Amino acid sequence: MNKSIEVNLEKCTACRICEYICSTHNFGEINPSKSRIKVKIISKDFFYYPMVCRQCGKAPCIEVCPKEALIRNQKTGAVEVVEENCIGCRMCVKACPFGAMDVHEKDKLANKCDLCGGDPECVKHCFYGALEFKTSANVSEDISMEYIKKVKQAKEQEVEI
Amino acid sequence: MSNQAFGWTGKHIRVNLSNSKIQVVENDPAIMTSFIGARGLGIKYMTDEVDPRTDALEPNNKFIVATGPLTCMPPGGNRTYFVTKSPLTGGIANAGVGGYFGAELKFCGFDFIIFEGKAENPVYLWIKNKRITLRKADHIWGKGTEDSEEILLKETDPMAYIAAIGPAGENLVRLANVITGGVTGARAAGRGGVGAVMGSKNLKAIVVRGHSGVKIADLEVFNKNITKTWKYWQNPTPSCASGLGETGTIGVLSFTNDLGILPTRNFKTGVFEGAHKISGETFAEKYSVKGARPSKACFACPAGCARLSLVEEPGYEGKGEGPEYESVASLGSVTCVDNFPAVIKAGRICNDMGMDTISTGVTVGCAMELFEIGALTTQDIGYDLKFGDADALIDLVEKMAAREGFGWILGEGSYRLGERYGHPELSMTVKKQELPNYDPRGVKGQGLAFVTNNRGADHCRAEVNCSEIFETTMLGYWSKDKDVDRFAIEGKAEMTIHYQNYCAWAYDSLGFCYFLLMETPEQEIIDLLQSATGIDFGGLDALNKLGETIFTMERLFNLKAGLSAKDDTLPKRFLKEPMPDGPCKGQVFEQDQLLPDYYKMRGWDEKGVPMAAKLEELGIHPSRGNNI
Repeated sequence: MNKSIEVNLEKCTACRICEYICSTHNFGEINPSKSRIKVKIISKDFFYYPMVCRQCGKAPCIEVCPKEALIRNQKTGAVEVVEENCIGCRMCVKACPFGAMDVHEKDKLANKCDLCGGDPECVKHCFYGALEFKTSANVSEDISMEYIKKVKQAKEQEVEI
Repeated sequence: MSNQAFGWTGKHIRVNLSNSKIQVVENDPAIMTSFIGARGLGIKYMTDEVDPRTDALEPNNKFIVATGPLTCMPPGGNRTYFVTKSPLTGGIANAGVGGYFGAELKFCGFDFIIFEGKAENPVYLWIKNKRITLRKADHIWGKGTEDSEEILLKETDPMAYIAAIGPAGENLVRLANVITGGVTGARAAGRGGVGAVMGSKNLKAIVVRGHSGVKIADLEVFNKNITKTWKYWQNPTPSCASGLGETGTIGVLSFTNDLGILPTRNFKTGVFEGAHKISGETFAEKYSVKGARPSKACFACPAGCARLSLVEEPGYEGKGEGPEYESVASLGSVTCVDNFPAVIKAGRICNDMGMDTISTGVTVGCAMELFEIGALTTQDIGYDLKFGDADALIDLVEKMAAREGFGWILGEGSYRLGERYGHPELSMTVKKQELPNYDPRGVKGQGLAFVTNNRGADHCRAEVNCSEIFETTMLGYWSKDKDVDRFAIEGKAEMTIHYQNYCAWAYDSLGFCYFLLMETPEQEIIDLLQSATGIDFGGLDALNKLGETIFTMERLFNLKAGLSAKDDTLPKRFLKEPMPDGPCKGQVFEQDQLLPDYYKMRGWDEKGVPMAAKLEELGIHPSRGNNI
């Protein structure tokens, strides 16, 4: 099963090192506006969320693309841009429910996370573990473990659940 | 020089507010390689272009906003410096700030901005990439920084970053600061009254939003160099940086109280009986939004020492960034207010009004002592002003920003307050700037730094206490193999000078936050600088010499401005009154022994004037105009 980038948002400190890493790795310069992961901030509520492509199973961006410019990499599971097919129509930008699709400032072609070929740099440099690279099976396993721990605790304390 | 495009963006902006002329100027490569950035660039341009005798609040003072070549780069490169002549000290001011503002300015394609003149009406500068415009700011003049930012985000770009003044800066309060924020919360460029200079120029705010990239000379090597520094802050290695990540600066309060150096009752003593009520532990338990978790970082910083507070107690409710150690101690223990929600609220008001929390708290503390000895009366204030009165603290902070009634003289700072009421010795200041929160009787090297730092009493321009009390290995050899005795005076002049010279380039001119890199060996910082810029700066000795040059130029600026050896002194309290209780009981600050030593080692004469031989060694030629 393919891994994807999972966000543990309560651990994010909005340091934006992911943006540094992504833009230097992919574009050779420090440029958060080109970064494929962006820390979104709602200031008044102290809320930050590193927004990055979910690599959806039934990806709206692939479905809406008129030119087969978005295809799935079978090895990594990432949705990747085929630049020579992309016409820069930005339909994918509108189709993405997370706003994780971007276009290049200059040529207006689609710009999105490709999981760095299966070993995402941003995850490696996230100090507090706000980003993790794991399969959905891992994710559900973690959630169910958390849940059954609660069940166990409740049972020990003879609380009705 | 093509190298200039690495690390630096290569351009800066000149804004003449008097005639609204805006110029984009190519950086002078010789200046950039000689002075690197931020604080170094600031003093270079101030020396060349501003007569030090100028009144700080007159149009011919200039206001420089400068980043360093490593601002916007990990680890912890995010600093911006506001350099100008200080209305508080009458000497040089250089207030630094983290956050995201400096990085965004560089993403617009500019390293620094020089403001000259004075706008006829309130304006703000809006920089969107290469498009730079001055816009009217009448509609936000008079508003707090929070409201101003909200309005500015709406009319510029929702993801913009902002450096703004509040009503305190507009009202020329000598303690006014610049608050940076925008889409994120408040960060203060606190000291020296830089906000009042912005106010005097009718410049309400600078708003930036950029999409250009910053290039690194050797990205592969630079990234390897970053990775090398990881080990100095990574948990679970005990280190100052990781500790700051865990507790925030507020975690320091219990520690300084245990050491007996937490300023209490206007610095009468160093132990505060209410310390546990305003400690980091209490904060994490009751008011921190994320409990003990790191909750907020500046750009490209892995530590994340900022804290976010949420207070629900009636009368004090609200959310905001902070509070930091310095704010809590100044507004709390100095005034003996142990009501934590009130202290946090006072800090929030300072942020919204744009006032330095350290100077504000210590000024209120001074007023309280003046009242205690009868120099201030109920008629002056309108009520009895007693140590520990939380309501009075909040009332005075509000009046100070508005300069209403008694608040007018408070807004002049504690020195002018004490002078007016006949007791300047009760103002806890050096060069008229209020002391940060380490009682110098218990940290002698830090005390000497307070006495000699060019911007007045200040800890950031030489954090000597890293060697004296914090168990860090900052600056390599100073503490690694040495057991530093905080009460000793031997060797402290040398140590203070080393810290001052080192901080001047390594942190303040490169754009790095010293919290994060205090344990990183000098050579690794040089490696980061050289791989980012592609320029060979000649190694540690050459860079330390640059630090000394920057420090000496600031000293010369101060001397020409009229400051002299008589301004190099702590208040009489620290020299004459032995610490009454706690672990530092009986200690005084031995200035008579420390200062002559310091002058001598600096190559200054007994009047604190740099001697010709020293100037020649540093390549400073004051006779040739100001150009060096």
